[in-house]
Amino acid sequence: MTTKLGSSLVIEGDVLGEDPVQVSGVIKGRIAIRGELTLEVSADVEGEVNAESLTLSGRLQGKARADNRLEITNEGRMIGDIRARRILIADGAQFKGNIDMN
Amino acid sequence: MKQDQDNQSEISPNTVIRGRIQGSENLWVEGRIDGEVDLDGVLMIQSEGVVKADVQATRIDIDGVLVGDASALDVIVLDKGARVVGDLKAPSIRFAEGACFTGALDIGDVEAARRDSSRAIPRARSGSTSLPAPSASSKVHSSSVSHAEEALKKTPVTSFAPASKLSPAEGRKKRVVVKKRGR
Repeated sequence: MTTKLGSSLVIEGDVLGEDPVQVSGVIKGRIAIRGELTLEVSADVEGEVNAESLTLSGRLQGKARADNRLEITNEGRMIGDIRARRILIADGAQFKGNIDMN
Repeated sequence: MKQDQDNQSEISPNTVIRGRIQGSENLWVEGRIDGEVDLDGVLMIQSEGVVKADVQATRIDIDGVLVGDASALDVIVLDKGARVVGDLKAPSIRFAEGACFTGALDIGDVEAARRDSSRAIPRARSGSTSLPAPSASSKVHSSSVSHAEEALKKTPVTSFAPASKLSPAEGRKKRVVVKKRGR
């Protein structure tokens, strides 16, 4: 089961859980899940993000930590620090921050 | 019933959202929400869903748990698995057999009802006051009057009113009785 948060949704608060989460809307708060987190092109997240793996195609402002893999696609824009074992930043992606791969 | 649409969000069984959710799409809840929901669309709380929040939506379908007040523009439906604690307000509210509910209900277009009642006030008043009120008041009246009359008959009529009509001897006797009472 995947949690899908549509493009019209605005969430002020935390998203927690163990299932994959797919965000197309706005979240101001913390996301902490044990699963794959997908931030779609229309997603706009402001806050700390913690997941098994993260695919960013939208906008993220805040710290991101992935236990496994973190990818910023060519449409992704991110300001903040990354901590992940494997990191992929695509050609065209925007990123400003520190990376920690330890 | 569940469709894969773009304008539809789902909260899966192992997901918790703590905070305020606002949007204009349908939301299927199989997980948990703590906070507040304000939706321009359908809110469906599935059998596994737990929502501890005040919720507002166009339509609210509940087959799970809701703790909080719910207000819908269209209809609120409590399915057989619903367990709800809170106040519900909607133009129409439907309960399925098996639904559990504790709280207050506010059903229907209250403003329209108010308008109707204000329009009908002269008639309603005359009708309501002329029918039950006078009968009630006349009952009260007659009973109180009869009580009062009985009381009047018992006390002064027997003691004083007849006194003037009584013979002097009897009148004296009566006066003596009164004096004794005075002492």
